[in-house]
Amino acid sequence: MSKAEEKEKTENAEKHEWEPKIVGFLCRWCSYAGADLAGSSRIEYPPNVRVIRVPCSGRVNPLHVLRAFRKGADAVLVAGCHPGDCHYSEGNYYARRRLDVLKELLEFIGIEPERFRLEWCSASEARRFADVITEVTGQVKKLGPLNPKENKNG
Amino acid sequence: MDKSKNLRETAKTLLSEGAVKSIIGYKKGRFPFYLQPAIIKDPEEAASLVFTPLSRQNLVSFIKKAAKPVGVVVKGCDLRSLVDLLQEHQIGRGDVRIIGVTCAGVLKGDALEHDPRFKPAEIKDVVEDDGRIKVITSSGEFEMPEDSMMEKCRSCSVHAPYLYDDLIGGGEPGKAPGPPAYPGVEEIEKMTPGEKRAFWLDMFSRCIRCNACRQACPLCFCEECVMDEAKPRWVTAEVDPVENLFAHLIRIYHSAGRCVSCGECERACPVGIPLSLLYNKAAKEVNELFGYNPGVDPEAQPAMLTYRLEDPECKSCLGGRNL
Repeated sequence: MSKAEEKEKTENAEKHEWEPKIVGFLCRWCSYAGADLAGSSRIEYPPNVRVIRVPCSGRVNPLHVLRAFRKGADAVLVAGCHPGDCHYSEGNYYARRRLDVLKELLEFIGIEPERFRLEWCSASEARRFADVITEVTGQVKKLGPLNPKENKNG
Repeated sequence: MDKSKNLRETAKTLLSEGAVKSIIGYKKGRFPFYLQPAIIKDPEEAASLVFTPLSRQNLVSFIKKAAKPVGVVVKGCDLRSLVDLLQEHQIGRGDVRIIGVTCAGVLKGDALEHDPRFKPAEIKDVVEDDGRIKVITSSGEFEMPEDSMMEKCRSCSVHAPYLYDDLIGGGEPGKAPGPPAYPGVEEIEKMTPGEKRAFWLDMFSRCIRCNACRQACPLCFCEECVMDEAKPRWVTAEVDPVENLFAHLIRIYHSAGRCVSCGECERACPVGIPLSLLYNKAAKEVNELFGYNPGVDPEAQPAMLTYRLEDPECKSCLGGRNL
């Protein structure tokens, strides 16, 4: 194999290195604005998160989370306002209850706890948002793909 | 006291006095080793009602279809699902006459078929005698071992109903039950994520998506089920282990905080998927996290319809440890 070929091969391998897909449901009043602030403050975080804007973390139906996993997400993140700060007063309290139970169920069928996360993140916490995404991406990279769609054992 | 006789008398009185329009109970099936549900309207039909250790089915599932006010024969465990329907305003307390029956336990679906001591064709009757289950056959009487009872009966804390209008079988009225034992859940919890996935995908590769679990569930009362919904199509009818698992997860999640572990889904499953494990896991978490035990207090608010400020902080949150 010539040197040029070898170089091309390593480059290709690097290009095709597996990257986790993370679906992020962000509350439009806080976390979404936090993500926005992270962007405008030029804070870097991994580009693995696909953001879905929701009106409130309480809007996130556990069905949405299940659907995301079914459609190939390697991890799901739900981020909302800190308890007590909900724009609709109590949406995040409901979310906390629901998603706590969902997390336990996911764990019970073999989806690692690191793959699902509920997070509180306000509009000013751009740094925290970036740190959360970095942490989740790192954890999921270590776990490898979930991919329930193609891989029977995965 | 003969429960069947007691039940027939009560049913006849209720129907002839006009206290109820219909009564849901059990009657003899085509074979002596199973019973079938019966909805009766005529006082004369009351003579066909029975209650034996074969009264497995949870009759609360039929309440919505019966003419109101309706009398329903319930065991202590079935009563919990009725309480849940009362909580969720699916039936008014005035529309239902609770005919509670004390019950020592019911037989598993296949307990009689696989007993080596007698043939199913020889069975004449199955009776409860002082807490033990006896099978009367043409070749003699046999006592059934304890493990021939349904799983839920072996850890039962509601042998006598705690809420009723009529009590069949006498004895002391029951106490409101504590949380059930959730049998088998811990063994699964101990597995690694890979083992769990392999286990459940293996189980759900058997599922044929007949939806018998949903039909049997006393708490599945939605007019349109998310499993049938076409727009958006949350789950397809595709028979595939992963799709099956996710379809079931939706149902399991939906009954978290409502499911009373009556075991009807597992009993109805034609391919023997241990569905109770998943439902019990959800019930266990709701109980541990929020201290809520479904189907006990008709006035209580189901766990997922409410919240408390002091609910435990989500385990996945960074919570206290700020980054």
